[in-house]
Amino acid sequence: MKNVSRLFLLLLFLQSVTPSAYGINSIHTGTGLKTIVIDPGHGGSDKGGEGKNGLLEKDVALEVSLSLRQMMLNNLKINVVMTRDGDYDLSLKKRTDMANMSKGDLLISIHTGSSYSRDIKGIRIYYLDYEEVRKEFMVGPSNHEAEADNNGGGEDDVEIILRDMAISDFSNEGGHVAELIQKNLTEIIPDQNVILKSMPILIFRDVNMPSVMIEIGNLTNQDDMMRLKDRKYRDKVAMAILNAVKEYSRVNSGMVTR
Amino acid sequence: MKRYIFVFIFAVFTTGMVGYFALYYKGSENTRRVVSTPLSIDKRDVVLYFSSRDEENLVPEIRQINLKGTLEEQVAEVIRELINGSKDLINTIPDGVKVHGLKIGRDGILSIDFSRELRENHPGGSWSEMLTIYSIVDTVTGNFPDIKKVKMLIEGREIETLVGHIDTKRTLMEKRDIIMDDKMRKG
Repeated sequence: MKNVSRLFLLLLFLQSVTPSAYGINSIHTGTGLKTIVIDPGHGGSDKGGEGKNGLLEKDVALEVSLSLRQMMLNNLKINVVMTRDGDYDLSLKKRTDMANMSKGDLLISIHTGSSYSRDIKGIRIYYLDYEEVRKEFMVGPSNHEAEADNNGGGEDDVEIILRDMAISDFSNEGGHVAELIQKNLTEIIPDQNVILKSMPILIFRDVNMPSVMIEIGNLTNQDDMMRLKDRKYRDKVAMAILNAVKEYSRVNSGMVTR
Repeated sequence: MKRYIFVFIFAVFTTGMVGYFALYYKGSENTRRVVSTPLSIDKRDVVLYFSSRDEENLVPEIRQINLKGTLEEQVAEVIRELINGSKDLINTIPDGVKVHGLKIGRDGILSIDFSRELRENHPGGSWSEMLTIYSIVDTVTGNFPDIKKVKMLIEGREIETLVGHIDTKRTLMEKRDIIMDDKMRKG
């Protein structure tokens, strides 16, 4: 009973709290998309996946990200932040810090895929798996930092509920962007298989904004590898992502297309 | 007087003997309990999780395995079977991977120290990473209810991720929604 009344008080309190600390204001108050963070996967000594012909994930990811950035700057009135713009090592922590410091409204992480079997091909789009992350938050501290932070006070409960609300929101918004990217990719590259999945990806969990990760083809598959080498295919992928962001911006009225 | 002394000595002797036998019996019972506990050898059905052929899900494969020794030795045996792979399904552990050691700590947290091949021979790709991680986690948590969480290490060190996407710094809990059961397979 004590817990129920405590929860009720918490909910009352939450109604008066703006969860701006988690960056979800910009999505709901109509200020729209101002900053998009593009994150080319891997880099430096971390090559990522590798094709039989020596094509590296880190290089493909960077090239597509740079094209996407240029397309966005040409077509949208928007800030674009790159987590890396060259071939160097960058930890996931630095990537999330950069994204959060730039107060991004959307994170787009570009990767290529790899599979155990050489037969598997296609594009995969991932967004935050809310249930998986929630399980972690609700079950209790599951890592050392959380254990150290947990002093059992009421403020922790408020923080957990606020974070839970933010994660739910990021997951919904990320899922929406992922669907739009899937739709646009299917239109522009109709002969490519495009799969959508929710995942507990580390970078998704730690950024204060909706996020998607796109594996733009499988480096371990011969057909996909040849496509990934082709500039035209890479530009089509970037164009589909741009169109999806344009569509997403229409529901976030603040952003104007050029 | 002599008779009283004799009765007294007899009583002390009898009490001593009874006490001695009582203690001896108790001790031997304890000893018997220890000795009578056999080294637990148990041929049982074990469920191993491998990848489906389309690499979308984990699929259970049941095997009869002789499990003996301590819980940690039994877990090590099951992981060895997982590493050995499947004939029909896709293996989720790359070639050449060895387990350097494992330990079950307080709160049912199993720490497994893998060799560097788990990372170096991995194809990469975030979904392949998911399949590798949860084939291990779901296999051990599914077969050993005492194990609640799994912590993965490589060459004795904590890893931020296995190949760049999934958080492996934290302890991992079972994930059942990645498993395709028989019903789903039959449609």
